[in-house]
Amino acid sequence: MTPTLHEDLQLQVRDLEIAVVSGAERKPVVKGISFDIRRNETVCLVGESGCGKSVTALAVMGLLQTPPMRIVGGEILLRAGEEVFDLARLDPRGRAFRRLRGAAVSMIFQEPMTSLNPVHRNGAQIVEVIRRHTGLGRRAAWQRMLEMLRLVGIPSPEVRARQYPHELSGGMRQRVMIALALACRPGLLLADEPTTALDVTTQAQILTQIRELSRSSRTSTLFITHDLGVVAQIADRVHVMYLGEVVESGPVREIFHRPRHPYTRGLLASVPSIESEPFSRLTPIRGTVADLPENPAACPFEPRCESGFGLCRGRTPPLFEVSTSHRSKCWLEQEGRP
Amino acid sequence: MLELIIRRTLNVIPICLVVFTIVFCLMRIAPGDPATAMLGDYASAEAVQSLRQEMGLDRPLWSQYLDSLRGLLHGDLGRSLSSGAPVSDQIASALPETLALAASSLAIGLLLGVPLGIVTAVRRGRPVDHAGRLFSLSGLSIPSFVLGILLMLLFAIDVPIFPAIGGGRSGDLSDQLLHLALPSLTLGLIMMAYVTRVMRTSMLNVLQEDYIRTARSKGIGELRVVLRHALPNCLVPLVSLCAINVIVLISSSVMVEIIFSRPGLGRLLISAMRQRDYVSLQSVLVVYAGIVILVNMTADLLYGVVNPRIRSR
Ligand SMILES: Nc1ncnc2c1ncn2[C@@H]1O[C@H](COP(=O)(O)OP(=O)(O)O)[C@@H](O)[C@H]1O
Ligand code: SF4
Ligand SMILES: [Mg+2]
Repeated sequence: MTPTLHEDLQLQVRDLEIAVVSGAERKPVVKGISFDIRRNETVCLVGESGCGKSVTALAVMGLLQTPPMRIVGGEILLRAGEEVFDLARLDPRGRAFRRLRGAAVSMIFQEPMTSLNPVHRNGAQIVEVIRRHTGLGRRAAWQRMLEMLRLVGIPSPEVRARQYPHELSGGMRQRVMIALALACRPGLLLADEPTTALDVTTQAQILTQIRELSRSSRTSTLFITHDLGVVAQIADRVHVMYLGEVVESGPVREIFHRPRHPYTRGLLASVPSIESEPFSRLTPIRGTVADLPENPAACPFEPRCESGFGLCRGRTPPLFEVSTSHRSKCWLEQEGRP
Repeated sequence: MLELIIRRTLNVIPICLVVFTIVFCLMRIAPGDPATAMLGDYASAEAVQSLRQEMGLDRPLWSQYLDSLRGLLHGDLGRSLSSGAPVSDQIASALPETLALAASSLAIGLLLGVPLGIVTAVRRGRPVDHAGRLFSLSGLSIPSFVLGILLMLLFAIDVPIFPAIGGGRSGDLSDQLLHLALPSLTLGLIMMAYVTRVMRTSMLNVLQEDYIRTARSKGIGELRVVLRHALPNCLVPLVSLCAINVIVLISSSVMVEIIFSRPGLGRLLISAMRQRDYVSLQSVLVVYAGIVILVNMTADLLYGVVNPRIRSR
């Protein structure tokens, strides 16, 4: 059976479950998350460190570290040209997946300082992916690489292409990574905290770069971050993750102006915004990510939740529809509650 | 680059002088002397005394030292105290034997050890890995003389494929190569054990690196990931291992040359030691020191070749 995907969608993740498997033990790190990305859309995956954002993106790339990680359930439907693939069922080492990786879907990693091979020249690293997927000759691939370096705003690309990664700053290296990721015009770009390791000015430039390039090349983007400021600048829609689950999804305006889930509200209250009173207090979310409820059937956020009530300790809330585009995984949304 | 090479080569000279001085002093401190060694314990005191005089050993130490040093600087290493042959001739005939042994052992070690290291790393925890590790552990624990004798028993006596002893007829290359087989296999297998272990460890480390994940994200095959992206990054530790081990190799070659009766530097060294032949001994030791220094220098240059970060400095 060939998987089907709604024609508006570039990627659809359904009930994806990923676990760390060691022996007979199975520690779930992504617990049945569902989200989708439309064509030419930028979707943000937001959440505190360790909630499973990178693991989710790596699963889409087929780059999960196996063992110990394993996809134990769900679907990852990806559009590649006319075809649709279920990546959760494709062998990550197989030929079919390798043909997609770098061409239909590609990824920018969090660590610009270590993500490029120190013994290869910058240009050659991009040429390699171009030649792998496009069948361009050496010279044509070199030209395409120079064009990509120019596009991502690298001055004197001919010089930079012949240098080694250690001769570039972190920001420049991340630009090389962006050029590498976009070189084969993928339908889907996964950007895993691409600006977290950079200083603020560089961060802003890189962010603009990614946004403009993915718009102009009609690439859908999954942008992973824990920084709501970044979300506000770049996202069309947002999925908020908490402990391996998506707890709230909606358009970026809804999430910022009418957040529903107590966790999202907490996140918003803990960052300063341009509208907040000068010197007003920021409110951190109490507790830490590691706090789990005593009852495994309870709402996972219950130990840290300000609005919890009886029901929350007994049962996990389902994903409630707040509006056609906005969902929240919280009992507060249940009919008949304030 | 060229300037670096020249500067390093000039550095060799003072180091050799220091080695020479140390060797000179040590030998005079050590008990026994060449005249007694030649004439035997029962020689009369007068006979020993006159031989010492003939050898110039009765002169003050500093004058002996300056004489030898002057000779060394002029390229005249003197004559062997025991045989009277020019030491430079002895070394000229022994050095190639030792270098051939070291080079071929190193080649065997690298040609077998690098692939085995890669395979055991990539197939970590599988049967190949366990077998490979057992193999390299045995290589690391077996002394060279035991392995040498075992190989000799196996391939020269039980199954006589190779000659057991000697260096081969001079001028007959294929005969010399046949004679080189077992000695270089002995040292080569030991070298291979070291290379396999270092290669496996560094390959395992490199495969965890972020840039390997980037390489995989391009959709290239695993073989290319390992050979083109991981392997070049493993070469830095490999070069340092080789630099250290060539030195180990040169010193184990002494043992192997004795076992297989190869006419190399090692044998020259041992017989000079037995005869208290100061003149030969000090020259041989200076040559050994020179080899060690040259190996280190080559390794330093190779670092630059395998690591662009060092090259650009
Ligand atoms: N290679 C791995 N082996 C074991 N556990 C892992 C591995 N990678 C990630 N995890 C676990 O998966 C969880 C999610 O990690 P990650 O996706 O990196 O979080 P983040 O949202 O910060 O990107 C964490 O609890 C982490 O400990
Ligand atoms: S379900 Fe209850 S505990 Fe969970 S987030 Fe909603 S209010 Fe808080
Ligand atoms: Mg992460």
